[in-house]
This record gives sequence, C-alpha cells and structure tokens, in this order.
Amino acid sequence: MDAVELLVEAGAALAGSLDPRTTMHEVAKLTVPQLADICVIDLLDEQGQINDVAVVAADEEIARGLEELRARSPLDPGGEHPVARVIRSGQPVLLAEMPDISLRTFAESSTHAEFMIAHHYRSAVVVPLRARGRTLGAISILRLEPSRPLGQAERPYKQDDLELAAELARRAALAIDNARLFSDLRRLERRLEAILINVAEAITVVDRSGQTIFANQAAADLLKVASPGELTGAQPGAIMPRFLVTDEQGRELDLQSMPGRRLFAGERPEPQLVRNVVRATGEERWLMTRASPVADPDTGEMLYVVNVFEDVTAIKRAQLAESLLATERGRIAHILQRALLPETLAEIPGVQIQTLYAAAGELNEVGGDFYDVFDYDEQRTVLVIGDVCGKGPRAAGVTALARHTLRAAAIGGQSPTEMLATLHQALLRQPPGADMCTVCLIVLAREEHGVRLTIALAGHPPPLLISPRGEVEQVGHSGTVLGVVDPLNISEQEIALAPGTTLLLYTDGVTEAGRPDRMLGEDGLLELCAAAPGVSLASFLEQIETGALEHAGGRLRDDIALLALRVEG
Amino acid sequence: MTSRCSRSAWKVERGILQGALPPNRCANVLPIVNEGNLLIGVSSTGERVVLRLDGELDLASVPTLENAMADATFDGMAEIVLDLRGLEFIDSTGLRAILLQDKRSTERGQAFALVRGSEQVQRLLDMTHVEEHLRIVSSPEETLP
Repeated sequence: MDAVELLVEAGAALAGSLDPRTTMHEVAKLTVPQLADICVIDLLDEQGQINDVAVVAADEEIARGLEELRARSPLDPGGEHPVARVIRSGQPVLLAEMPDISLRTFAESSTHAEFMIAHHYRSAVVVPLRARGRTLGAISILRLEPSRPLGQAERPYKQDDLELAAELARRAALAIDNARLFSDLRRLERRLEAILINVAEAITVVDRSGQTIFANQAAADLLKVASPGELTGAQPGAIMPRFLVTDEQGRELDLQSMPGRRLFAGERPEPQLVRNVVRATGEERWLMTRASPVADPDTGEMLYVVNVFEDVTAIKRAQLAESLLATERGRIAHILQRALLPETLAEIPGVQIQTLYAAAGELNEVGGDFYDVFDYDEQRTVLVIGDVCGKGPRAAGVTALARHTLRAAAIGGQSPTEMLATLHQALLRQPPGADMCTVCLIVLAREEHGVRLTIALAGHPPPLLISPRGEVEQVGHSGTVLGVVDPLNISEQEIALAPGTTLLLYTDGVTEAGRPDRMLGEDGLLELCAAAPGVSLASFLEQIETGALEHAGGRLRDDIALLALRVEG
Repeated sequence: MTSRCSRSAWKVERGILQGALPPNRCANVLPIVNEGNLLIGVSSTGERVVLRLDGELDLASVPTLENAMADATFDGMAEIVLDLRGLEFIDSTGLRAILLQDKRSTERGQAFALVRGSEQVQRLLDMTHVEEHLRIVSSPEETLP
C-alpha cells in the first residue's frame, strides 16, 4: 500500500467514527504492519496528563505489554520521552536509529527501558496530533529489529515516512477531535436531559409539526400520562382534547392559541395563564405557560419550541380567596366600625346632640376616628371625639381601648386632664408603645342659663364655637398628643355656652380633605360653619360632609367624624 | 462632589438636593421615588445623613419613609436630619413615624433633628405639642449641639 492509498483508506476509516477510542484504534490499525511494527497513539487528558493510549502492534503480545506499561507508569509530560517532547513542541521528530543508550535516556522506568531493548526498538517517527490549534497528543510509529524478512518495514524511517505520518496525523487529529466534541456534546445533552427530567416545572419540546420530541416526568404528571414516552409517542394534538383549557375570562382556548403554536406562527406571545380542567376527573389546575424558540444556529430557522408549564394553582386559589376576602373584609370593617361607635348617646336635657361618621375609601379598612357621649354624674356629661393614628385591626383595637378607658376614668371621677393622662398611660403600656391618639374631651355641666364646658385637648384640633349670629371661633388650649411623648402638657379651658350657640367637634379628616395645594383647611371649615345657625344640626353636619367630599373630589384621604351640640332656648 | 470622598454605600447622583448643599462639602444623593406622593432624597456628609422629604407624608407614604429609615447605613450615623421644607402635607401617621424615629435615634445615642417645614406641618407640630420634644433646626447645615 502506498502513501496515497493509505491516506484514502484513512479518510474512509475516520469518516464514520464518532467514538474517540474507536477512532484512535482505527488510525493505529492503518499503519500496522505496512508502515510500522508498532503504532502508539497518546492523548492528553483535560489535566494535561498523557493518560489515554491506544497501541496496535503486529505482535499482539507487544501491544498488550506496552499498554500495561503505559498504564503502570504514564509518560511524564515534562519528561524526555519523544512523545512528551513532540506534544510540548508541536513539531514532529524522526528517530532514524535508536541505539540502546538513547532508549535508556527517555525511558520512564527501568522496566520501560528493558521492554524497549528486549523488543529491539530500532527506528521511530513521532508526529503531533493537532486540531483546531491545539495539540491533542502524538502518534508514534516504530520499527523493530530484527524485523520483517524483507521489505519496506525493515529499513529505518526517513524524511518521507515522517511526512506521511504527519499527513495521517492531521486527518486523525481532526477525526479524534470531532469524536471528542461529539462525545462531550452527548454528555452535555445527557446532563441537560437529567436536569430537565428532574425540574419541578413541566417541560416539553415540540417541533414544527406539533410532535413532542422531549418531555420530562413533570410534564407527564401534569398531562396525566404514565411516562414522558407516552407524550413523545403521541400524535400531534392527541393529548390536548383530554383537557378543557380556558383563559382567565373562561374563554376556551384551542391548540393554535397556545404560546408554543403562536411562536411557530411568527408571533411573540407573552406567558399565558390558563385554567386547565382534566375532562376525565374534573380536576382544575391553573397553569402559567411560557414558550421559547430554539433556532438553528446557522440558518436562524425555528426548529423547536420549549414549553414550560408552571402549576400556579395554589397562587391562583390564594388570589381568588384574597379577592373574596377583600369583599368580606369590607363588610366586616363596616360592622366593626359601627361597633367602635356608641350605639346610643347620652341625652342632655336642653341640649341637642348630633353625630356623623364618613369613612374614607371603599370601607375596606377600619378607621381610627371615634366619638362618644356619656354621663359623668347627675349634672354633667362627657363629650369625646378622637382619632387613633393608623388604620386596620390594630387601630380598631386601640380605638376600643381609648373609648372604654375614658369611660372608666369618668366613673372614677377624674378631671378632664386626668382622664386624658389615664388614656395616655394605657396607650404607653400597649406593646410596642407606638400607638398615638388625639382627643378632644369636654365635660358639659348644665347651669341655670345655658351650659358650662370644660375643654381639654390632647393633640386634637380645637372645637369651633358658632354664635347664634354665625360668628365662629376656636376654643380650647392646644395640648400634647397621647401615647408617644412624656410628660403631657394639657391645660383645660372653661367657657359658658349661651342658648342658641352651636359647638362643633371634628377630626382632621375634614380639614385635610382634598389635595395639599387646595385642602379644605380650617378656613374652609370656618366658612361652612357660618351657615350653622339657620339649619338643623343634622343638616349642618351633612353640609360639612358634602363640603369636604366636594373638596376631595369624592375621595376622602381619611375618615371624618363630627359631633355637634346646640344649646336650646 | 467627587467619588473619592463619598461613602461607598451611596451612589453619587446629582439630583434634587444639589441646590440645598453647600458646594464645598461632599455629599451623596440618592433619590427614592415611591408610591404615594412622597419623594425622599438622601444625602450623607461624613457622619450626618439628611433625608429631604418632598410631597406628602401620610398613611400611604409612611411605609416608604420607614423603609428608607430602616437602612442599616443610618445606624452608625452620628446625626440624622429630616428636612421637612419640601413637605406639603403631613398627617398624624406621618408625625408618629417621625416621633418613633426620634425615639429610635435617642436609644442609639444618635442626634435627630427636623428642618422646619411648611405652615401645615408647623400647625400639626403646634397642635400636638410635640415640638418641645423634638430638635428643630432652620437649615440642614445647622450644627447640632
């Protein structure tokens, strides 16, 4: 066989092989016995060690012996052995004659040296295996002595043998590198498959025809089949009819409207939430379905679609429960709010009393505004309006605490300031000591002509006094808000109310109605108050509520509580 | 304003506070935009951090302020200043948040001060009598005792 024949045969042998070890042996076999008595292929592993070896020899005993030797004492990549030197330099080496002395210099061990000498190593060519710019290893061809009876193999190697070996090595290197890459790819694919098989989300890969070419176990579970194989074995579209698939609005969806099919149709679909009911059992699931394309890297053509189905049933159910709960919460809040306000107000002979409560928003949170009117003793009555900071269950709790603490303090005969101090202490004892409350507390004493008020303010807007002629003034001295800072600084003010006088207690939800740049404010409230003398107390409070709502464009920032009294006569 | 003198935790941004800062001092400004109508600008100079509040501090925006104040970077600061000059509106929830921060700072041995705000803000401080419990200054640069 001449050189051209060898290379042609090499091309044929190498073309079909995609396993690195098989490829190495195919290459080695080509050279024995025509070109060599022994052919050794050494490959570098990922760590740069010369660990992978294939030996083919005319004498099988030599092949086995050499493989064993290499396995026992691998070649040192930094050593003097021609294979190591060729791998390092990338240059081929021709060793036309190898006297025993030179064999000993590059032997890895004395056993190695003995082996080479015993088998009469005579001549060698070592050429590097280089592909894609990297040296993969080396091919060594060797002749022994005494060798063939006659013929090519008995002469020492020459330069043209080296060139032939180098040419063979070029082809072999590419074939080995391809085989290695292919094997890496297969390994990667298997690893990827192992990952996909085990992910919690259901995954399917579908080709253009609609055929499922991959599915993991989660997908099989989700689609109610025993194994992924049942999905990959099914005809396109065969599985879908087992389910009723609708969107969030309950519209039925067919296969063409699913994200995967829409991708093939050239759309860029968003992830879609679907309701999926197993027709056989009626089981309902909510699935978030996403699809991403896999394109051919060369042509850009879309080959596959990867579908990921995430079971969001639990989340969706929680959302539905939440929206039901929100409606229910609003209803409960309304009931609770009413419970925070007294069912009946104490009546005062000769004094009209009117209250109004307007909640902000959709009544879905309990506000902290409160009012109360209760007897202090035979002659005196307590009127309270207050605002607990915050909203929701906690504020509701503090509101109840405030109202009942003040009632209890009144029974003990405390002065207005003392009552407020009692509430302050109660708030401070509330864990975590962060509840704040403003209160306007008035003790009303009936007198022969009209009534006398003792007013105490704790961080609360001062009440407004409206004379029968419509003149409005603030009454009471400002005092410390309750529950946050110590000590309190509260001073009472006493005033007499003549018959026909109206007094308005309010929470800041009234004055804070509207955007900051055009709030109703105290001035706006004072204007509304001027109209009080001509109308009933009920109409008066409604006018204030209407005024505040108009100012706020129908949306109050905070709840409004109003308490008005008027001295008859 | 150079990055060399900036504290590493803060991103340097020439933002809303530019005009409020003396040009020769180094400061870092981090605007936090939030839901509700509150804008918080954070600037730190050495051991002092100034939070400038613009807009409305109410039930809706208090959580944003509390989140901003909960930043661990503030724990080690010697002084915290809340600049209320840009605050158009504050309600009792906002006031409570400020009082709670005052309490936290006191517990940490940290100086805490407010820069006097708009008429509406002042009215709430007056009405609730808390001004005597707070340290109020007239500008963010004012040295705290």
